[in-house]
Amino acid sequence: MADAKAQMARPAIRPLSPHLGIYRWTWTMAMSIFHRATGCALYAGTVLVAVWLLSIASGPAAYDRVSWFFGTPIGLLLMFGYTWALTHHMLGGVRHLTWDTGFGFEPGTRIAMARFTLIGSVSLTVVIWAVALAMR
Amino acid sequence: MADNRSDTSVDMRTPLRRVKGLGASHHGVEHWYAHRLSAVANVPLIISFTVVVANLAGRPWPDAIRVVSNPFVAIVLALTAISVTYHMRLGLQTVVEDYVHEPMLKFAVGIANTFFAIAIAATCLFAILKISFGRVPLPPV
Repeated sequence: MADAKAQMARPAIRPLSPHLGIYRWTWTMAMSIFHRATGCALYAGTVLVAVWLLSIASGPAAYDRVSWFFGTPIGLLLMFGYTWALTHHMLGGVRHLTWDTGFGFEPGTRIAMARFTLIGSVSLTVVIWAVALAMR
Repeated sequence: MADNRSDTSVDMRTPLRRVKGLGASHHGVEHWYAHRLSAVANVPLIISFTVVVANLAGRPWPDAIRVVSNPFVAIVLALTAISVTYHMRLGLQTVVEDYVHEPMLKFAVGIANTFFAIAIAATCLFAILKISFGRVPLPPV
């Protein structure tokens, strides 16, 4: 009885959730954030696609200027980043479509699917660029 | 999805709610479904788009004209432009609804989002059509 009273006077120290002290990154959370971030990046990146198509329509001088830009280190980095964002958002989208059907929610499967999004998108990007550069 | 009520045969909705079928958001699933539908369309379109762009990287202008003016490529690129801009408008709308809380700013950003998506779509479609139609041989006068 005395023990119970003492415990009531001093409330048990419990973690506040979600609190930064116990906050931990998980694969599904990280890939959810990546999915939204890549989506926003692709949104802005459509300007590059529009500029590229418009340069073809505008004639050889405009096309050469745009081609030159995409060939510079910044341009190549943008293209590489755009390819990764595209593959990552696509694989993430397929993962979400799978989840939308009600499949793949088991703890192991769920994390494996999220992990595959990152591993798959990086691998796909490297393969796409290796093939594109090998074909030149 | 997961329904843990003891008796799931009981419908908690009023008859009017059930007939309208719009759910808690009052908008139904239209936005959600359109986003998923365009996502499914984007998969084959984006794969084709990536093949076309990777194929043209570093190639001279006449090659670009030849590839993009090919009817099959032009149609795939046009469908990609429509599906992608539609999908990205829906996606950014969700992002804006999640992060922008000031009503007037949310309203303005929503309008800007629609305008941007349509401007990108119109630019891409115009360019693709100009490249394609410019390649049709005209009959001798």
